[in-house]
Amino acid sequence: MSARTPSRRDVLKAGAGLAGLHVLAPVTFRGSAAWAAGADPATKYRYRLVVVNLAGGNDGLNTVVPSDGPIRDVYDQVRIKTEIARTVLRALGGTNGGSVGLNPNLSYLHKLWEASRVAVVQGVEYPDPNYSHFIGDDIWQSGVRDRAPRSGWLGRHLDRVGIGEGELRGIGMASSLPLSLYGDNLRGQQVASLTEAQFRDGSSTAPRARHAAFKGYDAATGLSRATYGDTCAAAYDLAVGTAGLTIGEVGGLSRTFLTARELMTANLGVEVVFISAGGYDTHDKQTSRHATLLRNLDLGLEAFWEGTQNGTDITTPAKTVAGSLPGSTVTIPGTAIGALDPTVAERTLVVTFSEFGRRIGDTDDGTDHGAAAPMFLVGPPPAAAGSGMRRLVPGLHRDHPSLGTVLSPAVNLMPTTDFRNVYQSVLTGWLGTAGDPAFVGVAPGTGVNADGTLSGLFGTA
Amino acid sequence: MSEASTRDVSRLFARAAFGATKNDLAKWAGVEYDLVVESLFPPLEGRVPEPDEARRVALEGNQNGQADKRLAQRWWLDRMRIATYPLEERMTWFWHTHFATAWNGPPNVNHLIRQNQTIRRNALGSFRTMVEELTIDGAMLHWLSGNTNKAGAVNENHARELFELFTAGTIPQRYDEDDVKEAAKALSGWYVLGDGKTDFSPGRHVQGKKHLGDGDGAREIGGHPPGSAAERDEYKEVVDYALSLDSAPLFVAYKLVSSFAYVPASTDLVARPDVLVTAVAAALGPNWDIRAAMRTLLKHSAFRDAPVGSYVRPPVELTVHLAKVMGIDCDPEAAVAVNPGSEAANHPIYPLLRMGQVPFEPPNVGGWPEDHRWLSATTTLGRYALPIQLDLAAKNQNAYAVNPLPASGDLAAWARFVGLGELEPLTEQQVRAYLAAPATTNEVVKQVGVLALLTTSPQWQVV
Repeated sequence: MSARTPSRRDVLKAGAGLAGLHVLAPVTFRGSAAWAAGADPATKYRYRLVVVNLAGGNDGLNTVVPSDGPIRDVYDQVRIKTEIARTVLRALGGTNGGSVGLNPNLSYLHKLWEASRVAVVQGVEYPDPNYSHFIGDDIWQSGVRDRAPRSGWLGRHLDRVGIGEGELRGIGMASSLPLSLYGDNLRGQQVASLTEAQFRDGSSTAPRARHAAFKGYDAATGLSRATYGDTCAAAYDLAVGTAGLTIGEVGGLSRTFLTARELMTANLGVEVVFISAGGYDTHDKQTSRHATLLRNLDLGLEAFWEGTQNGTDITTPAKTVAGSLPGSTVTIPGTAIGALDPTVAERTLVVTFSEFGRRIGDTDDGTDHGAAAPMFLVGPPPAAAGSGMRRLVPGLHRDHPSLGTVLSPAVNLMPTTDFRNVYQSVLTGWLGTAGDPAFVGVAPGTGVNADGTLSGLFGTA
Repeated sequence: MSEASTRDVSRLFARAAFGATKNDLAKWAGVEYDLVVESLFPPLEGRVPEPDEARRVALEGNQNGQADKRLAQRWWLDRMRIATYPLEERMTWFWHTHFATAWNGPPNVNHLIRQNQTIRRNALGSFRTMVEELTIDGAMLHWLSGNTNKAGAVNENHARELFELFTAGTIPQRYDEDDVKEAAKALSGWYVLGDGKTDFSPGRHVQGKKHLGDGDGAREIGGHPPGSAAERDEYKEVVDYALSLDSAPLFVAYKLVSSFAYVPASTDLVARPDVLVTAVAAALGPNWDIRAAMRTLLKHSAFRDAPVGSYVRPPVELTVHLAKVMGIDCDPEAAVAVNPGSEAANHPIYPLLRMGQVPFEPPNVGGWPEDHRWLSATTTLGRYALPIQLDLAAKNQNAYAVNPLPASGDLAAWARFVGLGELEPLTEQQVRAYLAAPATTNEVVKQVGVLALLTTSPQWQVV
């Protein structure tokens, strides 16, 4: 195991020098956790969830692509410039009297599919979909249809399960904290990157005294001043709790995935992670842009699970240290970071979503906002039968949305699945909770249980 | 009518003029509040040219792309710092957050600088004129796919955001998907030329009538003879329709109130009005007069006496304020030459990246987050890093020789130096705790620490 997993002691050590300075500041924790001390080691056995937001409206029809049958016939009719040839698709299986295949840029994902680790839920949206990025995003991230939602579905999960001492239970890897992670009482923390999670003005006694005084601003009161104060303390704790973690040498979305992985394997009690992967609003230059976006997603998944890119090891950064001769230096090459820690891997699920799909027909080399797209759920290798581990049921779930007919193609895909049924299944079947009361009874119908879950998406090995 | 207190001046400048300096506090405290507000507006006649206008003009001729974007960003930050009419520049910044446009594909530096000047020219003028000009602006046409919106390949991107984000809004929403589709046709035909100017091609335009709205408000637009001036001006009919919706003045006023005072709680400004939004919308009036709207906003008691903690200062405003009080050039060509190895330490782009806000680079067309959504763990570490980084720039530029920092223990002088006037108990307590720490004995280190703690205090960050 080359992936470095900081022990509780490591993390304690990182913060130890600061303990004496706390007396300078009136420390008032208001729900922010003392990450410096690390979490309860038992949190390593938590089931974890990584939600990936394909922001901008992913073209579902070119992600899980009709490959045969009537749905392909209509597809050929409506997709002119953005059409993907059936010969390059990677087979997923039969649906709606035809079949679908995976976009060829998702080659690693297809390997996982063949290893029975992927569920594809087709045609996911909600009734009367909204095509505004901002309203659509609010609906998907909150799971409710209020005009100005106050909380997100993962934040409400945090409210229900609580955040223990020393835990960084929910993290949002985005430029600001995603709505998903706002609870009514608790919230997750935003981590743009591990470099950004540090003070970076030195670690001698004077800067540390500044940091301690800065943390003391958490005593602030008055509307957003109180929020700012809380955040000063959270920022301080994050900096201390993540000091010493390193990320393998890789850039882009893969780096974000690896950062999530590093935080998940450190003793920080991470349970839910939200990763923002933007750029999916392909109104123009779609052919090249969408291919690149899916390729980067695929590489991100590979980095996360395998610690490789296109099969090549990702390594830790090389280090330059003093050599044995005076003034000489020696460069120690990095080592392969390896696959995700098996204990974590066995309990981790990755789920993708987008605020909407795109229109059936293309507009030159682009597509406008439309309804319904597939969600990917990617889980661990199937657990041994009888182990009692929670289990994702792989394969195609639900029907592919209708495209109308060759003579009369539809303008928009007709959703077959409500996203809240998927959320509720994840909350109960994977995270093992009673689920969100707001999702009970949503979208009743064939294949939907009374508690709002989908039938047959999760089980027990 | 009453005199402005030091606190009034500090808060007014923090929200409307990129922050107060000690000179601003000394000049305006004790003056009639409304007169202080009036002093922020540029005169209608007899303007003084901006000191860096030559630099702006040079950038407007810059045909380079992404490689030179930092030049444009640094120039604008410095313009904000030294602007002769800070409210006009503050408004230009506000409208950039409203019509959030970034680099997207081919646009060069000159496209965005040209758009920036279009905004500045209208920043306190007619909102209608500004929307019209920006609807056929080169950077905007690139950004929202207007450049590829043509007959046979109608692209809805621009039309949707014109309604949702720029004019009519969704609180409440008075347009629907059909309006987006029809408006997209009416906007078709515009494209961008190599120099960033734009033109209309009748051959690319979707001909025929377009139908907007239903019932009483329904309107038929377009249907003009191909090649006619009326056809070329069809985009103005879309703008006119959007601005005729009753939600439009309320939405624009909502954006102004959110960006200067507080984020109104109402999600339906018609059914559940907000007092300040309603007043500002009324002041816009039939001429969409932004100057009148801003007069009303800044003099209103709901602005002047908004509860403490209502306005989270965005990173750009913090940065410009700090550069102003420290006397740091944000666009320091000379400093780069003096100390070429530390270019990054010489201007404030890097802390802005950490805080999550760089001009001309909004995260998406919706612009940057507002209110407490700004405040999260790593962006707050970016806020912490800002004074530390600017201290390096100040030292590189020898700024403290011209504009010395107060002695570390002189908190009254510090309060004026950072534009606050007086320190609140929590701020003073934390600064004193820091100064009492045995670790800090070096006076220069202490000064930087006091600067950092004052400018990361809740009192300075959230007003």
